[in-house]
Amino acid sequence: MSDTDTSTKTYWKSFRELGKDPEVLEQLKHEFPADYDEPTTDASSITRRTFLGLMAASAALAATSCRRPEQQIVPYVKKPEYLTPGIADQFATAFTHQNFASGLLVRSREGRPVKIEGNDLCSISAGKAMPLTQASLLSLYDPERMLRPTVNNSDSTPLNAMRRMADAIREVTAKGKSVRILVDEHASPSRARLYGELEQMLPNTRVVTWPAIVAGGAAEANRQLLGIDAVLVPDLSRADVILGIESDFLGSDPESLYHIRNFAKRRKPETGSPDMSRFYSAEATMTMTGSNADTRIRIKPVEIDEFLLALLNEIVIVQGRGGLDASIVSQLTGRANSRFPAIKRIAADLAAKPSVVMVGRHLPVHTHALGVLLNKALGSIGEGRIIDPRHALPFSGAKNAGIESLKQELESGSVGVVIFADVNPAYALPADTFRSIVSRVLYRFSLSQYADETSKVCSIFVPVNHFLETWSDVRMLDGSEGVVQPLIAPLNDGQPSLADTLMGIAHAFDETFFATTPTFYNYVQKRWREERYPASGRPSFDGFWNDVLRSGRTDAAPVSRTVNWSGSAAASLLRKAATAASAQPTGMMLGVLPSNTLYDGRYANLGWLMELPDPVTKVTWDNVAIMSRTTAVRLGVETGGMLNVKTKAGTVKLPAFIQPGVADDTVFTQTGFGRTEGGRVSADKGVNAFALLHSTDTIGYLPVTIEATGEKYAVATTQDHHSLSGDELYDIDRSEIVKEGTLAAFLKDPASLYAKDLPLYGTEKNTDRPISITTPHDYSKGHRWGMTIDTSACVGCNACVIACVSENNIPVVGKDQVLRGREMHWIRIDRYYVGPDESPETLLQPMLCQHCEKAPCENVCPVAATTHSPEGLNEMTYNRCVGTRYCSNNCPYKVRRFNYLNYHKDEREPVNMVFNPDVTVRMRGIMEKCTFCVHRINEAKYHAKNEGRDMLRDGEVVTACQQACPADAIVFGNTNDPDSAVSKHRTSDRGYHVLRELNVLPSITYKAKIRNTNGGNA
Amino acid sequence: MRTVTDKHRQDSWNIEGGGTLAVDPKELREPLVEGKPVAADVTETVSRVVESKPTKLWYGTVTVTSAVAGWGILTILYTVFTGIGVWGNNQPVGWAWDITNFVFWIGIGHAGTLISAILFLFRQKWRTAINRAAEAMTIFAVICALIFPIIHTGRPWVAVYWLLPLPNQMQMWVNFRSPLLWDVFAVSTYFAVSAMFWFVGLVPDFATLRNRAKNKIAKMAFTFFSMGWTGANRHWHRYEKAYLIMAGISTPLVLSVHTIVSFDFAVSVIPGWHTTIFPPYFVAGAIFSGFGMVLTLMILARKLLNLEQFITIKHIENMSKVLMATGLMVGYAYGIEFFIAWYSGNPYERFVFINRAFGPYSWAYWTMVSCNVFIPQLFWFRGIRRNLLITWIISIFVNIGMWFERFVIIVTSLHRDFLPSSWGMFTPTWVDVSIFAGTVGLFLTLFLVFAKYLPVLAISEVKGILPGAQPKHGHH
Repeated sequence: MSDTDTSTKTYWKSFRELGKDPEVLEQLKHEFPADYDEPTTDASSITRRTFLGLMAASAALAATSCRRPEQQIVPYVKKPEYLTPGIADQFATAFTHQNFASGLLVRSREGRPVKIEGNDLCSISAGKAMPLTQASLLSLYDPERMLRPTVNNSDSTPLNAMRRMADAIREVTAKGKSVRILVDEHASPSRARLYGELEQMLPNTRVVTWPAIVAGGAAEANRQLLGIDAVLVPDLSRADVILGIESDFLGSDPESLYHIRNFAKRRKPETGSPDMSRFYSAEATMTMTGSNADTRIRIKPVEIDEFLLALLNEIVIVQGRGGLDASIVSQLTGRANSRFPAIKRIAADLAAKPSVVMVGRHLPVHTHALGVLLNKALGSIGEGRIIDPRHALPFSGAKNAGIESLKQELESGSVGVVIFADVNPAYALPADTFRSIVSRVLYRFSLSQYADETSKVCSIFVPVNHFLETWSDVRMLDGSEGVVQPLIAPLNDGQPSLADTLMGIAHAFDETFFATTPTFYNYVQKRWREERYPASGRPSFDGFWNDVLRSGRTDAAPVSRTVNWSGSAAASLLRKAATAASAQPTGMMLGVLPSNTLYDGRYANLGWLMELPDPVTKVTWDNVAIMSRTTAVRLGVETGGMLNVKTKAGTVKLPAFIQPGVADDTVFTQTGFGRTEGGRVSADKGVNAFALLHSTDTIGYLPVTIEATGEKYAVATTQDHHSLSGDELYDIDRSEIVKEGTLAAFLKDPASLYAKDLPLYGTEKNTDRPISITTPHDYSKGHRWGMTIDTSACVGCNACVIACVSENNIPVVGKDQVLRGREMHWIRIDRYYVGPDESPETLLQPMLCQHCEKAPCENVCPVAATTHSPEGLNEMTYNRCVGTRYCSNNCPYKVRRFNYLNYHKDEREPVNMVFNPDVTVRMRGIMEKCTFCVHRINEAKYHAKNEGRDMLRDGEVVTACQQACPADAIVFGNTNDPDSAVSKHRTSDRGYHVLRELNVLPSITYKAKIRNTNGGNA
Repeated sequence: MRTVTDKHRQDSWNIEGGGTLAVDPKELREPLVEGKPVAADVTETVSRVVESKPTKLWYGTVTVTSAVAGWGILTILYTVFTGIGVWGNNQPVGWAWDITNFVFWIGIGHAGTLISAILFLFRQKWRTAINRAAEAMTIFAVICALIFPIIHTGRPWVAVYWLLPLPNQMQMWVNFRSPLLWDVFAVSTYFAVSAMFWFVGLVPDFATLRNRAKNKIAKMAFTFFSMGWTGANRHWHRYEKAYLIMAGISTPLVLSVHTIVSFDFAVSVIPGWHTTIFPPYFVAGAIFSGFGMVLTLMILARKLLNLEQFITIKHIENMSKVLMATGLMVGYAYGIEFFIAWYSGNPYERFVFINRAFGPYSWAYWTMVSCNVFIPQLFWFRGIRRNLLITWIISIFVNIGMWFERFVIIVTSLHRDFLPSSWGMFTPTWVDVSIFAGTVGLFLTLFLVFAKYLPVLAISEVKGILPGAQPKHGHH
């Protein structure tokens, strides 16, 4: 019976099968015999089986395409030790913008970074971050970052690409040609060491720093006059008087974060503490910095040297400030100039108090030399003084000579391999110049995050990591150091960092190179072990290292730099300045300056920055030709009239933009726009101003011919030009909107700020309230949230705007929508001008939802979607909103924003990962506005509740805008608590409510703008 | 048209013709109906319009107007599926053509009820010739108006019922403090009452048509809508009472609807909106615009439907007088607004009015003033009041002017309010234009359908004002 058991029975079809012939057995495994030929159709090579397969696949696709893509949510089976879902983690890292590094704290939710903030332990950032720094988060999730390396335009792997590059280096160096690695400015000591080592390891190799924006004046002047080859960073909090010569130290300068912090410390006078610095600015264009000046002097660019010489004459000869060599003094006599009547007063002011002169970084060496001379005469240079030689931007030495010799090498054809390591000269140079320098190079390689202009002309392209995926380190301007640690594994698996790629090339060149430190992580750690650890006095390196990672920084370790004064160099540069001053060119001048929002175009693909209004012009998505009204009339254009702008290097078309305060016969434009490659957001937005330049310095002045083309161009501004009393038609009193006054008048009588107020209203101290027919809200229990904004401290840097965009998932709407007035920013910086078109005073006023007690928006909403909270918040219930827009119409501050379209529609993965999971992403058809970061309030309350507290401590809730503000102009807190910071600020004598007479009782108290003008008595 | 001046009948009704009057007949009050028709003639004339086949002209016109209406519906669907962003609205101009059109149509809808209710209560007999058409116009205008509050919202799919105070499991109630909600109540009440009033008036005429109908479907329809009307004394008695009551109910609505619509603006804080003159000013404006539209339509209708003997020059002249009177009220309101802006000393208020008259939208302001104030002054001349062509052209100007009035109030107030930093401009898009054109198309289509298939005149009421319909005692 057992052999008839079905399980053991064998069924056979042929003898060969029964005989277990292997060939037959193999055939049996297949449905069809091996020699079976698929019948093919006549027309194509598609077989029946392929056809069926395709049919099945398309049927499956069709069946699934109607559904949303399936996504699995997998809860943690075992929870990671340091990660609680829903609770954000903060990691310390650092950001480098050119030579300026600042410490960051990056908020990470469920393993993905969602917000960049300053590290409050860092001596430089002190918890603050600039717009560009904060927006760099978006580039991490930019869907247009390249994923795969290409070799000769076909996909490759990083390893293969590195090998090919090493082969090329081997090949050209064998022929006696050299290798040049072009890098951008940086602030990383490990990188500097790596570059040095690479030059040693690879034959005939040099690493040359060639940033897009080259401004060698400051470092060169310091090198020649002081013997310090670096950009020195003054401490403005020590200066009683500051004179800016076209210096945009609060704006586009990379170290502006540090300057805003120090500058703002001395810009908040109160009746009890009247201390305030005084800031003069002499400039041709209206910079953001100049708009903050107590006294702004409009001068033409050709007059700058004359102005400084006259000032030197006044200070050295008339005021008798010494310390300068006789050869210099003799040159200054007779330099007094009656064209600048303000000089006498400025000189006296500068000489009388601790003061500093700041020279714009785009100005030439001899002008910077005049600045150094002035600072020396004023006694501001030296350890412990305003310009402390220990405080310098790392690796900021003069680069012009290196760049010029590199250019010659490249043109001569002696360079065989050039590696563009995260630099983009194809964009940053005029086309002819770029062609002439790269055409004779055998091999061109590009390492970059994006497929940019340069990578298009390179045979090998390796996409590199974002800094949030990378290990590195930084040195800050005070000598302290920090570690850049990755927040997330590379989104594109296995993508190397820039340094890793360079190390990989060297390793592929010779396996012994970087054998002990195969990754840049090991390399950075090694440097820290060797250079920083011994001085720390810590028992173990791991403990030291972990502490640095946790705090993000080391203590300041200032590098002493000795000042070697060179009188002869000063005298020679002074002669040059005198020659320049006397040879005044006539005709139109073009000033090219870094963009306040995009800087050099590296970050141009970030919609957050593209849509960020320029702090001065409020223009988005474009660069423009900024000019005075007189110049515009002379050229026969209005704002938006297209111009042909022609220089020796090239011609571009730029729209005219009339800006108050700009010198006549001078036109300004900004770099950073007009990218052609590297992403859809940046592509063809504005014009590439680099194409106009032909000197090594890529910012500065050059002669230009400009003519109107007669075409019109739509310039998207977020605020039109409305001075408070400019146009005769609108000559009306709007003094209820902004309050301002001079320091002298304010100290004499604080009420002078409110001279035009209706008698009922005064400062916050005046608790008189108009009679109301409705019962006021009862806030007596619990919290009552309020905010103060100091318009005297606010410099208009936009840090709050980007912080809010990042925190609250605010969409980028695009130029077309901005033109229609539909930008979505919850906080905007209103800018008003007072006074004549030529020399207006600027008033800045961050404007956001005022969370009115008697909010006009609340009672008009038919569906009760916007309501009042017991804590004084004006709340939006998105789910309930039907979008009548009545609330927005009835808002006197016009701070509500309506989703006219689905602004999140075109977002591609992974950009959705940038969203803050605590804040709803709003759909179309609903209204939104500032929430006072209610999610942060609630988060703080959860924590307080866990600790058994009902009430939050002062400072426990920090709104995103407040958190980011480098000037500390925004204070938020519980006004029910008389000891809270906000309560104290609210009772300031400078306090006022915007549109107070409407009796909507806003929760935001503004503090009046105070100008410390020189009263004329000096 | 068959002439109704039959010698025999004329004589039999010619009561005043005896030459016994002491005054010159030319100075007598003009008859409300010309040609001295008898009751049967009225029935015949009005019913024939309903009973005859539509003309080619009618088909052609309806094709055009319904095509425009269809295009409007498509663009509405486009808006609903894409977002309000396809319009020109922006920050700060949150409302523009949407609410302009809403108020415009609601205003048009005012003449009907005024004519049927208030003039009825004041025993203005001349109203009978135009009240049916004016009421129909009211209802169609309110239908056009009702489109906008719904589609102007960002999420109309929830707005349609969240704006109603419906009990729900969330215990989420509407905000009774919002003027927009009052609007919902005011306009829907107005629509309901106007429709009912219109229907009540139609019942005896439906019965007449029912009796004459030869077409089976028409007979069934008229039988249904005439609700068993037999013309019995009791029916007439109830009918007159019901009509009077409805008139009583409608009268306050004439005043309340536009008062409440004006609250949308007057209750806000925006300079140019926040003003107490708005309720009477809006009501006067609404009557003005309503009569403007009635004139536009009736001058055409009397000609095309051969109703000249019922809608006489006297009617046209009367309406012209109303138009001029309300136009003067509106003009007075424009003036007072300026005076108050100056007199109040409020800088924002003052600015808004200077900006209206001399700012970037001054062309709209002066269009409004010209059409609403200057041009109607021509009606001081009797010759112009009785000139059909000129009157018709002026009525068109009034329609244009009143649309611009709402545009000026809404857009110029919003585009520059308190903070100059947020000032902006509004430019309409092709969708804005299409939707407005679509509502015009819808309005005209509905009116054309009405004019063809329903009695354009209140047959029974006109009979009541025929010469000799009331007992006269001159011969004794």
